[in-house]
Amino acid sequence: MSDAAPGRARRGAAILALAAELARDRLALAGLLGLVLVVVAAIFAPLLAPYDPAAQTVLARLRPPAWLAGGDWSHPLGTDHLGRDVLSRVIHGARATMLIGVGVVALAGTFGVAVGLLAGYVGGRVDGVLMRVVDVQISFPGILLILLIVSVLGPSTTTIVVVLAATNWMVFARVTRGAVLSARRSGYVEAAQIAGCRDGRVIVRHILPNLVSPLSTLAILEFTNVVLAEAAISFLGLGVQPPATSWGLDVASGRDYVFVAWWLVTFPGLAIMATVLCANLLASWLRVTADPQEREKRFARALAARRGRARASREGERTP
Amino acid sequence: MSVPPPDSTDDPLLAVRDLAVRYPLPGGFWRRRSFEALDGVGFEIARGETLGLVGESGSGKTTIGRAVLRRVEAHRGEILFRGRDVTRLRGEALRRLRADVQVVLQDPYSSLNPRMRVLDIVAEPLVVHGRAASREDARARVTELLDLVGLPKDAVDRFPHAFSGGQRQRIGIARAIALEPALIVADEPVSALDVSVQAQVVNLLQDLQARLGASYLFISHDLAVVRHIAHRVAILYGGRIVEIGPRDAIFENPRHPYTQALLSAVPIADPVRQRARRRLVHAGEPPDLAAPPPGCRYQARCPLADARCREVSPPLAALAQDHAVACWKPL
Amino acid sequence: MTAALSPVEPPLLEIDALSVTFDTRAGPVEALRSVSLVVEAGETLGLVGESGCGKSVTAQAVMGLVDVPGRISGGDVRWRGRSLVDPRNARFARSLRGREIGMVFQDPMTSLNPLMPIGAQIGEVLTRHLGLTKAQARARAVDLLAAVGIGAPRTRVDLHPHEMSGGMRQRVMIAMAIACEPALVLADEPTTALDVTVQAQILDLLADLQQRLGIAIVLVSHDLGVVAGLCHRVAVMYAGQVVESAGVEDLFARPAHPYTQGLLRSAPRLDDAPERLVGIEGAPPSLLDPPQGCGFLARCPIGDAACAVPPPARPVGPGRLAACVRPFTPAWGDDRSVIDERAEARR
Repeated sequence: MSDAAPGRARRGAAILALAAELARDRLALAGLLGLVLVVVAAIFAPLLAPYDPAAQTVLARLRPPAWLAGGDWSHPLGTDHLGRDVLSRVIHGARATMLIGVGVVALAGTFGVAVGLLAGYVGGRVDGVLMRVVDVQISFPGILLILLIVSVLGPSTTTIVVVLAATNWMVFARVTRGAVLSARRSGYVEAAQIAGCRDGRVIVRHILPNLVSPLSTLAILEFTNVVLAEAAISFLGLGVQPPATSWGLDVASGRDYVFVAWWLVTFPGLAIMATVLCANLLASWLRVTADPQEREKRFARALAARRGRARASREGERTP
Repeated sequence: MSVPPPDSTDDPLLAVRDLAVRYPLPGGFWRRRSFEALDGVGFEIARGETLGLVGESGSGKTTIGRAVLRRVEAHRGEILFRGRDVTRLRGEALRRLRADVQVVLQDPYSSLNPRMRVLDIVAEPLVVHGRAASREDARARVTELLDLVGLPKDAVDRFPHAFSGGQRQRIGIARAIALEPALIVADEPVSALDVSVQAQVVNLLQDLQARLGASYLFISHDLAVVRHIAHRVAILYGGRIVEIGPRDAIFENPRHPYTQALLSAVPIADPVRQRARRRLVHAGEPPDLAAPPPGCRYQARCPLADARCREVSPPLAALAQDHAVACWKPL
Repeated sequence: MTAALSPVEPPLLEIDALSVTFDTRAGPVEALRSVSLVVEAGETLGLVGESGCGKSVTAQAVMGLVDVPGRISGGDVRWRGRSLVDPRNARFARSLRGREIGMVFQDPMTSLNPLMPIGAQIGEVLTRHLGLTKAQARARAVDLLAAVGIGAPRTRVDLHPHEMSGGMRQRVMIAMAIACEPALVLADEPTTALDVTVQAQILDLLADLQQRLGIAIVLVSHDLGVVAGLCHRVAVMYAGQVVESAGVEDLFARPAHPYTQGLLRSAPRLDDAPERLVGIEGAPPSLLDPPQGCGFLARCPIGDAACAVPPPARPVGPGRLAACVRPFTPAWGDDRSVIDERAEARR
């Protein structure tokens, strides 16, 4: 259609502007690059990892990282108590993290958004009942629920995804409900309803687009929670089971050697920390970007800082 | 007036009888408390006529509009549209009514979806009521509508943020008239606009009425604007109509003490006249509608109130042809 | 520049070629472009104009409330001759605000603390600026509530803002603004959120306080009727500039600038309902890329090539300034009669 072209061009320009803004914000950019690195590691793990993460080499047990005495570049981050390559395990561990993180966020997000939409849009008694369910679920200790379900179903990756989704969907429901309520009060939703739009159309065309930015920020933050929770569960032995790999699992199995081989817990631990940190940096940037007022302020502050630096350097030249 | 006089031969387009609306108050799990936003409101609007609804915040003027639009449920009373009670309409029947009763909202910024193009915004009523055969058809109709409200052709492909407040309100009006409704509820349609733009939009509404013959329920707190656009005016106080009548009767010969106080409080943009005016100040607050007092709602502020005013509500009684006042001691 | 009436005593407040720029992603928005105004002690100056004309930004600049993304990009604000913009005077500027300059905003609910009784909030101003003790401050708060027309001040002093009506809250705001007996009160759309009957009472209160206490008031308003009733002098703003300033009666009787003329004729009036309202075609220019010449040129019926250079504000009568090449030219020819008639009727 001919009239689609200007819209597309506009969107292209908006994306370019967004990219330029991200490029200026070094922390957020670092966060994004870090996450991209984790995703790439997860997808291409078999190609990137020098060894099979489960391959044991009895002759090369507890080798230190390459830059320490006794280490060499065949195992850059050293080996563990079974002679497995730590670097390969960290790279493959990204798989479990991404799979579980994304899986849980998708599952919990879908369910939570559905509940929130229903509660926010229908309102009244439906809203009351659904939100009380959310309250009850939030007040129930999550870790207890996890232990309960895992002990019944037995530990596996699928179980973890289900269990973590079951303990994390509530925040999606709450945020969605809040956003739906405020969107429903907006004039254009009222106008659409008075124009005679059916509920489905109102939700899809007028309400859902409002949810994209708050939910994407929330999804990233929830992802970090899930990464930490997965690590904790795997550490407790209820999560990912050997011979599969997971950062949490590796931290757990390395803890007995922490005094003789610190690298066993350090590298998977660092991977967890870096992933969470990167996601948080990106999320906080996204949050500001999604708020037009905050976004303008950030822009003006950056401009003022640049102007200040320019002035300082000019003055510096004058009085060397 | 440049607007043709309403044809009085027909039955009224809209007749509201004894309308009461209650809103629940927050809190109170076992015994839900509510307050009566409207109590026993009745009026009629003829075809092609503009009724101005005037009142201060909490008077119930917006609630009347919302009840007519079926955005709030009537607790009591009926709303007859073309002689048929619409207070119980549901589903498809309600959707069909929507094609005939449209709205122009106050805020030109929040009333247009920022993510939709003007084409899609204005075409939406046509699309959902199956009045646009194709996208090309919708486009042609929208271009026509935009022309009618005084917007350039190239507006169709733009997004709302590219327009000023007045232009946005024109887009909202184009959307409201797309289905050629018989009644348009205009809820403070020019209150958010600057004066120089206000005039353009008021004039546009008048021109469209002359062309399309729609009736307006024009809700406003601005008496000066109402004086320019309304044929008849209803003054609300505390959820009731205190006075209703032809525009000139209300503005030149107000009979209710509240109407008089209200008119005298409106500042006039002329320093000499404004400083020479006598203002009637009736101090006090509107009644608490969660526990309204018996009798007249204005009694606490009215300088003329006596025992009867405090005990018995004055009915809305005709004083002259078409001019009625709810007061025991009309001035 | 504005004519200084007395060479020895500097005016109470002098805004001198003030410019304010907002840095937005779309580019710098020049919200104020070289605005000059003088407020003498004890006078009421009305600042009128439509949304985006810069009237509120002017008030904010005086109060030091221009914050990121906005910045003062030129000019000065002087209090009794002393700069408030100069960073070296930051302390002095801070000490004035709330003490010598009071402020009343449009929405009292957002500027009052919802968790604190109103008496304590008024008292806080007094203890901070005047060093009163708590008991003294409370007694003074009761007096102030009485002064702004709140009945039973002794009991009401302990109410929280949400327990009061909008009009009462605005009275509390006014009490806070005058608590330290300031020389100037800046009132930014103080009655816009109120009903007309309440508005009338608040305007009466402001006029009364102004007369009794000799306070100067700057009233920012979009409502010509409000300005007509309360102000001594009026400055009309358009597109970030002052286009005309005059005594209130002169301005309403004989507007010099075409924009003022247009504004006056487009305001619907309760006292006469002509056949048809008249507006001003078009919309104000974008301040992202303000026009080089007169800001009103695009909408002005009498504008031409001579208006392509920015017209400076120049005297057009006793105490009157207008930024127009052709002041007093009836811009909307056929309506000249209406304006004349009104003026005639008054004489």
